[in-house]
Amino acid sequence: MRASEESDETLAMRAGGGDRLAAGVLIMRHTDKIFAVSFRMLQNRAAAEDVVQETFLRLWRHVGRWRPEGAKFETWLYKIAVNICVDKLRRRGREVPEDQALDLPDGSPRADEVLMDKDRNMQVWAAIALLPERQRLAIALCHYQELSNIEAAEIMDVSIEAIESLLARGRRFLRTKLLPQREHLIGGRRDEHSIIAN
Amino acid sequence: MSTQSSQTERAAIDAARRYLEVYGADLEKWPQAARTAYGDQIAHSALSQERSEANVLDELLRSASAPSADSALNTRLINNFDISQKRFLAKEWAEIFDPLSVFGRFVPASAAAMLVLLGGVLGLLTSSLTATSSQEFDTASYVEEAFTIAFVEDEEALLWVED
Repeated sequence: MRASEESDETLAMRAGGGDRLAAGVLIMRHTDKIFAVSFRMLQNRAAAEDVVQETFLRLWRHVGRWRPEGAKFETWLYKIAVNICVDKLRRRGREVPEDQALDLPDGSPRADEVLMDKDRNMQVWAAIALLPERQRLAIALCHYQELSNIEAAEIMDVSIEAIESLLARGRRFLRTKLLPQREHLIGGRRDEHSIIAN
Repeated sequence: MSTQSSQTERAAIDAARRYLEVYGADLEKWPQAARTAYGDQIAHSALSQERSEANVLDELLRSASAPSADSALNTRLINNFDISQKRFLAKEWAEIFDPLSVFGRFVPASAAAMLVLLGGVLGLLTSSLTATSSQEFDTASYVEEAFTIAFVEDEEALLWVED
């Protein structure tokens, strides 16, 4: 079996034994996910990259002791990253979203659309930044990383009921902040996407 | 019968409302069991406002995309792995060649404990030596006393002969 087809758990055991190829596959597989959740928590590219580096350093330091019968590898990795993010947030306080956070993917054809998208993204990011840390984390894990409520609860060390409560409160807060401006935020795209599906 | 079924329906609508509030209008994000049990309810007219608001919020959240990680980050991560492996090997070799290193940060405390132990052993040895030497002293003084008496007795005998 090729390394890229092997499970995280097998690769982690091999990386623990010094296998560079296994480590490389784990890095390729998980860097983007760890970076995305860190960026959503810290809203700063450099800080999110630091978290990714620190997460993998801790992984290499402890992977020799990790056993597959415990938590799922990905959950364990997220847990390391989330703990580092929380430490960073508590040490430094809130970060202001950077401009590069609002870089849109290629393919936006018109300048006015790009500006509208940028403006909307900016407002959504600003609203997310105002969320309390745990609500932001719950939304990052469940909504953006598409983890199940069980996995998110394990990563955050809380019950499923607590995760659901954090999600509900987070969404309620975002709704209060963003929905009064819905015409401004989505008006330009309503015709194309008809996002309100009644 | 119809009262019971309307109560059941209301309970199902309430549950669907709660899931809409927690997970949004995208059924894919709902837990499997909730999707099966209450997924159909979100089309109910009683939930039209909640569904509409949840849809808008989902769309807005989707639009806030995170940037991709820098492509150089993966290279740095591989380099970090190499460095950590070298450090790990160096540490292992150090432990093989330096048995004290297994104590790690406890070296000062271990050294202090060893010194206390050594002091105790030396103390015990010294006290037994002192005891031996005091016995030897007693013997020597007894011998010396005996010789003095003998000498005095000899001297008296000598004086008596002279007289």
